[in-house]
Amino acid sequence: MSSSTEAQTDLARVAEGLRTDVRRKVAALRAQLDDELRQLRWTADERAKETGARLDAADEQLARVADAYADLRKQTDGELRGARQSIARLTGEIHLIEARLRLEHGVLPIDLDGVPAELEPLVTQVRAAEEIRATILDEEMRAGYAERVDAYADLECSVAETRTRALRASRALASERAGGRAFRKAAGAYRRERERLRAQTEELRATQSGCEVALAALADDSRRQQDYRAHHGAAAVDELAAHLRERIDVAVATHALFPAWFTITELGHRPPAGRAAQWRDVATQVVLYRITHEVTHGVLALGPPPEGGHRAERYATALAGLRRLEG
Amino acid sequence: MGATELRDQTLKRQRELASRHEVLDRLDAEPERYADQFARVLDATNDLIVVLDRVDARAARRRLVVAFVLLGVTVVVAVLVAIGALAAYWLIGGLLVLTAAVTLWLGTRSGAGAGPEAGA
Repeated sequence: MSSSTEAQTDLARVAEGLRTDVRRKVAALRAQLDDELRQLRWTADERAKETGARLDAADEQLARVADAYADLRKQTDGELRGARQSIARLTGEIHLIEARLRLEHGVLPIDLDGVPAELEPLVTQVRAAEEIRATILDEEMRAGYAERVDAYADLECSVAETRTRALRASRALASERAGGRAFRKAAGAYRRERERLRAQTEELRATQSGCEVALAALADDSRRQQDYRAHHGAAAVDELAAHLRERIDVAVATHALFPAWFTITELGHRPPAGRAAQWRDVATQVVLYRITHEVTHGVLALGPPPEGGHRAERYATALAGLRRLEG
Repeated sequence: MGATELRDQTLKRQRELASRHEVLDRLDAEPERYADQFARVLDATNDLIVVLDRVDARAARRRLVVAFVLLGVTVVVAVLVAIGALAAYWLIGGLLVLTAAVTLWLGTRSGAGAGPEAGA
């Protein structure tokens, strides 16, 4: 009996010893794991810091490269522009030298202002059409006159309405019992309408002459527009422009010498390779303007600027065409 | 010019206006004479309005006189109350009379403001 009790006590002691040992080992393992985790976190932090620093350095480097690229591009653009201007100047100078050489060899500039006998009727027709077109009102003036006529018509309607109301009040005054409420009301209404009618009639009288002028101007304009349509001016202009274009084409094809008023503009001596079609159109437009308006100035391609009207519009259009060639 | 005379004139002008309207109504088919008759109708209406302006002016004058009389009554009542000839509650009546006078005077002003301007 006592031996079995001792055996049990020993077993319990051994078990207790084993438990304590296992606990110690677990604690030791946990401490080791914590250490390793701490180490790992520290390593990860260090790596992240290192990577961030590298990224910042790469950003700075990239910014420096971008700045250098922008500077280089600006410099290249400037140099290209300068080169283009130099080429244009050199081309002009070469053309000038060529022109002077040809002049010295007796080659005369082509006469773009002259009108051949076979084109004379066409030019006369174009000039006549242009004269009619010059007297046609522009949109703004036409709208102004129409507005004046409309305002007068509105005023006339208002006067008619006021007269109707005054007549109604007068009729009430004639039919209602004198001194009654309706009679007094009608008297008040008549007094108001009479004042209004007086003011409107005054205004009508003041604007009548202006309206008559506007009506006459619109009628004249309408007649001129009909004349212009009947004249077939637009078709004649197209036909003349086709002749002039052909003459310019021949001049370019035969390396003819263009006159000074032509070459000192953006048109130059030759059409540019990239914009030959545009050059041709603008050249035709300028020559057409000169022939239509009989400009013979030796230096100014379009002559002195006109004061206003349709010719000024055409002048501005031709000038804008020349400006576009420059850009 | 008396009230009866003004009344007669008003009726006379009104009859004249009515007759011109009748003529105008018959002229609907004749536009060339319509404008002329229309002007006549407006002339007749203006004549009637002139008479009505006179009537209005006369009525305004009468209202003004009545307003002054009422103002005088108010002053008399106030004096009598002040010297003790009338009891204090007479002042209530005096105040009512004064209100009536002011109302009449204001009515005269508004009538005078509208009448001559419209009749000008």
